[in-house]
This record gives sequence, C-alpha cells and structure tokens, in this order.
Amino acid sequence: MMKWRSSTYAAIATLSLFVLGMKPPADGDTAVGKQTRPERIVSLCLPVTEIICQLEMQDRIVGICDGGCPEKVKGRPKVGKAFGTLNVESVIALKPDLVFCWGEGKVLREKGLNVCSIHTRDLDGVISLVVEVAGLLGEKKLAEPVTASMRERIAGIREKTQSVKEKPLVYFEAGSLGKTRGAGSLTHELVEKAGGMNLAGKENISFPLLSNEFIIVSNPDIILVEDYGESNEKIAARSGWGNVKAVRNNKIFRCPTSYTNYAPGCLDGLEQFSRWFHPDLFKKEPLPKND
Amino acid sequence: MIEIDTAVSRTGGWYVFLGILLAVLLASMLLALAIGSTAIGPVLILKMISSEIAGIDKTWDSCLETIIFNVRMPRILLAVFVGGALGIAGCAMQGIFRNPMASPYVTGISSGAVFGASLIIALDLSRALMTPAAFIFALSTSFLVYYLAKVKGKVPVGTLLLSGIAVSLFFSALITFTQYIAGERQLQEMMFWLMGGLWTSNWGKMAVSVPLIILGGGGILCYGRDLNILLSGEEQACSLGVNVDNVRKIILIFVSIATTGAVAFFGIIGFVGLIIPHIMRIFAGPDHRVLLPASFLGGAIFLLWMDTLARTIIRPSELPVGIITAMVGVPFFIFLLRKRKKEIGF
Repeated sequence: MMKWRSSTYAAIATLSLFVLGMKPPADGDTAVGKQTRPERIVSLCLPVTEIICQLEMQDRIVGICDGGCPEKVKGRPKVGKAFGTLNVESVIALKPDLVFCWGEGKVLREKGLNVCSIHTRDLDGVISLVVEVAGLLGEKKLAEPVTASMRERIAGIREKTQSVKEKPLVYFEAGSLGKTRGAGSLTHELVEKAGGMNLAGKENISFPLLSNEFIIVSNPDIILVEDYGESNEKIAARSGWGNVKAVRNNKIFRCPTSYTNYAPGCLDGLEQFSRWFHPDLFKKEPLPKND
Repeated sequence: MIEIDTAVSRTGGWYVFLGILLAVLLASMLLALAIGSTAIGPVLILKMISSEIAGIDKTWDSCLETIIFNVRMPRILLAVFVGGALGIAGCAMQGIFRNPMASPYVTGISSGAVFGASLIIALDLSRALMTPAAFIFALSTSFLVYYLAKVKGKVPVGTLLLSGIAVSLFFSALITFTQYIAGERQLQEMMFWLMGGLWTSNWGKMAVSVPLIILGGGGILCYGRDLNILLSGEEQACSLGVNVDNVRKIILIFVSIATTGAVAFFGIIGFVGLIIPHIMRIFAGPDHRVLLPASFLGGAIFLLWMDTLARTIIRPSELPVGIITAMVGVPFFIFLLRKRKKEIGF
C-alpha cells in the first residue's frame, strides 16, 4: 500500500515540475501599435456603436454585442454580452483592428487585439467619448459638429433651468420598485441638470435600491420609469402610492433607455426631462422633433 | 486490509477502465481543438502544431494561430483540469462524509472561494491576492460546514445539506453585498468575473490554477485507501488505526485547494462535483483508489464537452457554461439514478 502512495507522490512531483516549467507563450499585455485608420471594428459597447452610426461610419463595424443595436448595424455578427460571457474566438476571427469594450478588456488585450477601454460615466464623458471614437477612427473632424451641437444643447438647458427656484423631486425607476440611480451616475446628472432633484441624490452608490417606504414618505413630484419597467397603471395602483404627488397629478413619464445611455442620445433625455420638470419654461417652444 | 469487491477491482480491470477514460479524454481534447465558432480544419491544425515544432512555412492567417494556441488550447486544458478538480473534490467529499449529496458546490466551499475573490475586487486590493483569499475562505467554509454538520462524530445527510445550504446562501448574500458596495469600475470587473465560465482562460491563469489542482487532486489521490476504510464505518476505521477526524480534516484541506484552483478564476460551475462521482461509481464501484482518478477523468471529459457546447451552440456568441452543465447534467443524472437506483453505493 505504501508503494501506491509514494508512486502517486512521485507522479505529482513530476507533473508539477512539468507544469511549473512550462513556458507560456508571451500573451501578456501586448502593445499593439494603434493604426491610424481602423477599418474593421468590433464594438462591445452600445453607446460606441451608436456614436459610430451617428458619425455615419457604420460600414466599418464588423461585430457588435448581444442585445439591441441601432437599425444601421442590424444583422452584424453578435459575439457576446457587453458585460459577461464573450466568445473570444469569434472576436479574433472577425480580424478586428480595433475593439471597443467596457472595462479593461484584459481578456482581449492578452490575445493581441487592439482594445479601447470605455469608462464613460458622466455627460462630459459622453462628449469626450464622441471625440475619442472619431479620433480613433481617423475622422476627428466629424466629431466637431456633433460635440458643438451637444454643448449648445446642454448650455441651452442650463440657461433655462439655472434660475428655477422650485425643483421637483424626481424618482427614477430602473426596471423594478426601488431600483434607481444615485450620485455619480449619468441619470443623476441628467435629472439635476434638467432642473430636478434626484430622490436618490444623496446615495453614494451608482445603483442604489430604495425602500418602498422611503419613496412614499419622500413623496416625489415626478416619477420617471424606464420603458421596460412596470406600466403607469400598475405603478399608480401600488399600495400606498395613491397619495404620492406624482401619481395624483399624473406625472409618471416613460423613458426609453436611450435617454440615460452614454451616447449623445442622452441629450434627448436631458431636454425631455426639463420639459417634464418645468413645462412653463417651454410654453412658447414647439416640442423637439425627435419626440 | 479491507478488500472491496467490485466488478472492476475483482477482475483487476481497473487500469483498463482508467485507461479507457484517459483515451476518451485525450481524444476529446483533440476533437475539441478542432471544434469552435470559427471553422478550422483538423489538417490545418496539425500543420500549425507541426510548424511550431518543425518550422514549416506558415501559409495561413495568423489570427487562426492565435485562436488555436491562445484561445482554444488554454481553454481546453483548463476545462480538463477544472472539471477534473471538481469531480475528484466531489468524490472525496462524498467519501469523507459518507454522504451522496456532498460536493464543493452543495456544501458552500465554491461560494466561499468566490466570495473571497470578489471581496478582493470590491475592496480594490491587488488582484494577486484573489487566489489566496479564495483559498482562505474555501478552507474556512469547509471546516465551518464540517463542524456545523457533525453530530457525535458522524455527518448525517440532513445536517450536512442544511448547514451547507445555510453557509452557501450566507456567502451568496455576501457576494451580492460586495457587488452592492463595489464602485462602478469594480462592479464591471466583478460582473465579468462572476459570470465566470471558461471564456477568460489564458496561459497565465493556467500557470496558477493547474498547480493548485494538481496539488489538491494529488493529495486527495493519496488518501484513496483511507477513504475506503472510512466507508466501512468509524469503529472499523479506528480499529484499523485510522484517525477518522484527522483524515477528514486533511482531505478537506486538499479539497479546498483543488476547489480554489477550479473556481478562483472561473466562478461557480455547479453540478460537476455532484454528478460525476455518482456516474463513475456506477461503472467503477466504490473503491476510491479507482473511483478518485475516475472522477477526475470523468469530470474532465464532462466539463470539456459542456464547455465546447457553450462556445459553439449559439455561435458566434456564447452561453455561460454553468447553464449547460446543469441542463445536460441533471437530466442525465436523474436518468441514471432511476435506472440503477440500487447499484449506487451508500
């Protein structure tokens, strides 16, 4: 019996030596020289896909992430989740010269791909994202009109809302009861810039969960609901919500996800929010055409 | 010395059985190398491999070479080792607890290890600490569950399951809590990592994971005889000079090492450690000297094929492998259970 055990020990020792001595091929953070004009782009980042489409360079996108995508790139190969399981092999097989992804993208970098990490988290970040994407695609000039109009639209809203004294209390519901966006999120920034007060503005985490009781007691003036969430009728019928100001005054509004996404489309959100929050300020103006 | 009478050990055919498993595993590895979302012919793969050795002129696209050598190869090897580690760890746990429901997943060791690693991300500490933290929590979880479940030196099915589930749920809650407190950047990293699966495989992870698995798995293998004696009951074991409590603890340490190697980089992959030992017991009988290596090989073959499915079934995208191990493994397990109810040990 001892023989069996010692031979096993010997086998382990040999195997460990083999493994430890194995020279892994150099696949660390290989720095790939950035090409001046990438022609094959994989975007695992919906906002980047949208920006590229807006800049009319969608022909260069060869792969996108699972889930929804702009009409212009429908049918392009989907190679995995933006956050989660990704088919690395499919990405490599598309032979991209540039890959956009959320986070570090280490899995892709170590395979020798040219990766651009996206960390956008606020409105300024969206503007610089447009500049960065256009620059990386070798069309820096295309960004200028887009960012100029973005700045103009932001300034326009600021001008209108900076003097308002009464800011409505806004509860943003992301999907289900209590799920909302706190300080440090883009949604929070949009709500505040549109002249509202975010109910979760004091929460220091980006995606806090508010209690039912807290929402009812806080009595928000306006409820914004992400489009895929519960219907207005169901929200109004929640027990204890009948007396909430937003429900009483029928101020429950539906937001498409593009309103709070990290793409220029979030300015539609900003403008729409301020119209909902302060309808008096916009009395003389027609509704935006995208509405 | 207790001789366990099984078809395999009686005929001395255990090495034939293990040999067949090994052959199936090697064949599966070669096949899996040729299967993927990108079509690469087996002849071309052979050419690439021989060009690495002999230096033939390369006439193919270099991206195909990246796919074979840096995507599929580490992934296949890791599937083999991770599946093997979960299989052998499950088998050892079922042996020390004399309990058919034991496995790293059910007893919460996996959740403990995953919590340890996600804590490091949430606190934004050096990522080099992820494996040690995973190991510390895996080890303490295994001992915690052991002491919670132990009643007068025995570990009944009921208490083991209950304490395992309690501890596992506790750690799942803690994992969710670390996600809640993590900053946006850490949260992104955690999401990538927790959803796990073998798609993040690379040679660097292999260099850490595989030695751990070999150490843990090898350690477990050395205790095949003691596990056999434990099967015959406490008193019998004591009269044969085996310190039951000590043996259990040592094996738990090795189980924790192997489990850490399996889950520290890839998140929780359930069902392998539970199902594979049972399936192997049907073929190999209860002798742990055969059953342990058979569970390693069986787990390796199983996870390799499940992962190959995961990366091809909805190509060019990919499914998390845990979904497939559960969807394929559980019905297969129930089928075997119903068909050969009486022949499963315990």
